Amino acid sequence: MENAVEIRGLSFKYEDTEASVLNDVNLKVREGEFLGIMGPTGAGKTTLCLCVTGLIPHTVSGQLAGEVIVVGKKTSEHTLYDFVPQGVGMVFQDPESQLFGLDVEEDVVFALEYENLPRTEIRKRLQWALNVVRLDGFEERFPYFLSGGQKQRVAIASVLASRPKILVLDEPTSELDPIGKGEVFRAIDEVRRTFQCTIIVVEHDTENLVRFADRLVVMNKGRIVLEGTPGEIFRHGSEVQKLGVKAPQVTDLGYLIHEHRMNEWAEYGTPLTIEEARDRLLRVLEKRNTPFGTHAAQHRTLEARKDEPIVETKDLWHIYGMGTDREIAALKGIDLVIYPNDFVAFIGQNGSGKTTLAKHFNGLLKPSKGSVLVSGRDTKTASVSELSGAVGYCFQNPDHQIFNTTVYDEIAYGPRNLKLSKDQLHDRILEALRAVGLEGYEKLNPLFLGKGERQKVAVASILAMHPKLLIVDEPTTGMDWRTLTTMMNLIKNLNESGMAVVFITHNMEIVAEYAKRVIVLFDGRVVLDGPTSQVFSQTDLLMKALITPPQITQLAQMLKSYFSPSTITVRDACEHLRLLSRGGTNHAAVI
Amino acid sequence: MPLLFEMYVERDSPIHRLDPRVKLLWFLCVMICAAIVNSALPASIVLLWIIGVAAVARVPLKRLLLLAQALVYMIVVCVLMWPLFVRSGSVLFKWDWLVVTNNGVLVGIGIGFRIASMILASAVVFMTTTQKELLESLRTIKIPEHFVFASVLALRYIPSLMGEWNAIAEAEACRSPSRGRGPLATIRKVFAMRSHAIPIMHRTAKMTSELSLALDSKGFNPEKRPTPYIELTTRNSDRAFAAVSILFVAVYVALRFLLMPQQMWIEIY
Repeated sequence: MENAVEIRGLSFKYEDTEASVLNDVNLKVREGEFLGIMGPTGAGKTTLCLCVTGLIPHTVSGQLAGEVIVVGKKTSEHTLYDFVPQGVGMVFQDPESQLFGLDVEEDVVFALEYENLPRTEIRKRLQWALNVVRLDGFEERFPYFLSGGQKQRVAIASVLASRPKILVLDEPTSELDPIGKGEVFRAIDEVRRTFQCTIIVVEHDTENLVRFADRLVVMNKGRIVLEGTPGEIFRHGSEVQKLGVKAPQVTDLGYLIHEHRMNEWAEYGTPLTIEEARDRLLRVLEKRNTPFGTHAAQHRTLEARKDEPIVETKDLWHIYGMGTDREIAALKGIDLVIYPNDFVAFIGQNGSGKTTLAKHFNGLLKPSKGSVLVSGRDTKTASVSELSGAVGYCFQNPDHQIFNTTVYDEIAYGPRNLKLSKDQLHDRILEALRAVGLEGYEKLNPLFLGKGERQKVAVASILAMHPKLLIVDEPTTGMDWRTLTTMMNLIKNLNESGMAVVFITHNMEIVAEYAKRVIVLFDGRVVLDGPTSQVFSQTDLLMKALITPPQITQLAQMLKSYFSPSTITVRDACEHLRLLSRGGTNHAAVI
Repeated sequence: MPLLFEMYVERDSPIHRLDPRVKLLWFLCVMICAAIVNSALPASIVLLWIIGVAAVARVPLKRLLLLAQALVYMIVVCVLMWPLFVRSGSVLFKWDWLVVTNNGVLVGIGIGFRIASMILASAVVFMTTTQKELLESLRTIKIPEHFVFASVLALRYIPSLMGEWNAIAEAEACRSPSRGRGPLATIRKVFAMRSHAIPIMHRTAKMTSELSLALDSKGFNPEKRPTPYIELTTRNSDRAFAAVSILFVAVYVALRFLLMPQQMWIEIY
């Protein structure tokens, strides 16, 4: 089989960076192959994609060494138009900046218009491309109002319409919710099945990637450090983990079994999918003739609390567009209480009301009906600034909340309004910097820091206001696993030091790992509210709220007769297997 | 589209079906007619013409009335102000230095209607033509591609930038001092917006650099003329509408400059 892409000794340095971003990369991608690229942020994945599309060196300048041969042509010896869009097409991470048409149709036909194809052909391709990504009938929709998953599918269709031989996707799902992720992966799979093109995907979401990719490469510091089939890659547990790549949870369980030398489970190995994991576990269990147990779930229940709540909502309704003909009820009668020291996760699909609810806690939104009390004060009569001492709100994108040119000023921005003495202010800033581990960053410009660090600056700038409750809206979107765990550990430490935390996320593994209490929202209502393990064991209700529990919980639920339904982390599962192998079956660990 | 700046109203009317270029021609004709007259009667005929087209297009009365509300104020202001400056004609009313002549009243109404015509006519064009059709017609009448494409991008990114702006404003509010209430608070709020400059510029720069990569990756070539996907066709109804519009202008020009200049244009002094 021919190679669609061949890269030899590729190194690249951007004009404005000091170090090379790519160092001596060698890679061959066969025609029709599905290649996944993984690695921590800053490993050079995006730069590699830009080299494959020819945008480097034709649009982005810098020092390039080595050669990139795409569809038989050396990129440096041809013009960009010899590759794009018929040779290779690229889908970018941010759906917002790659859809520039006034409607979907315009985006999909854009490249075709520049190819000067006849009108009838353009029309045919438009229908075909929209059909592949299952967006028939969306021709006249305005891109801005589509969901993230739909936008990214339009982006795929707009590239696909030119029938490229190679399709490159750079983190296409990292800003999407689980439903959007699923949609995009299904679309990529559909492209592959109906139209034999080579696919190169950069992705952090390993669970989806291992299902589809033929081969994976792991990059670190501008080099390819691991290469092989998903099975081969994840067989080397410690190496992969060291590189900050997240293995699927069922694979992690294999690593843990190995680490704890639980030899009786060695046959489990390192499966990649839930089905594989289930089959292997069953094989061992049947061989050992382990009797079925009954696992009554034992949970901690929410203790009745007597302390003064921080936030209390009573029959809270929020209606967008009140009084117009386009009223949308986003919250429908929410009653809940957040206590000091709570560590709560809000989960639910996009549009379920998570952010709308959280924005009531600091007065950014006011109730349409019902009330919200913050430290006993009705938010209707208080401004956001008056509540900012009690509740701090950290937004999803740090870029929206950086207003100053040094980290020090940035963190001082809020507390400066609190009428503190100079020394007090300085102490608070240092204290906040210490809490997020950014000491020594005072004089740097926050805009030039990495995303993880900018997110920390944003948290620190809220911490310095000494809120009793910290709300963090999707703190980990688009982060690699290492940055993500650092961020969540930071939040956990804050909670342990006495601050109540509410975080909004789509990442169920994080919820299982960190949250003490989970509130599930669906269609503007609270459908579940309780300790994490209890919430995740309510499979039916979760399904109704369109939430997929973590992989390990799904596995436990598939093997209900052996596992407690409250198994929510890999550690729980491992512990459970240990108990099983000791012959104990009626242990339902209280978590 | 639930947006203020998108005025298009979907209807199946003869006006909606017109070639957008013909609608632009009609708009030009209306502008010429409104510009060359200043008396009440000829200006009101132009206004009636526009209202007639709006009625055929079945644009929702509610939206038109919303616009009309603002227009009424403007007409009232014109009717009240202009008579103070017009000195020609017979005196209707005199009190000290204040002289109101019949010409003054006619010009006041005429100018009010002229402004109303210009605004209503553009509203009718925007309510019956999609932005895309408008831009495509600009392309076919050989407006440079840079300009057309820049307009597409500008229209496309208005809501995105508004979204960004709102997110920034909310984040800022979370950490800003209380600005109190009343008119001073508004001034303080406006003044505080200067702090939005850094994040909005940062976001815009990021989006545009990504946008330019996306454009390049799709083979965008400013030197090249793309094959337009939408085909604008001119039918007989278009030709008829265009002919009537041109005839209307011809009649107005003839009346104004040859046949009855005094009735169409009233000299002020």
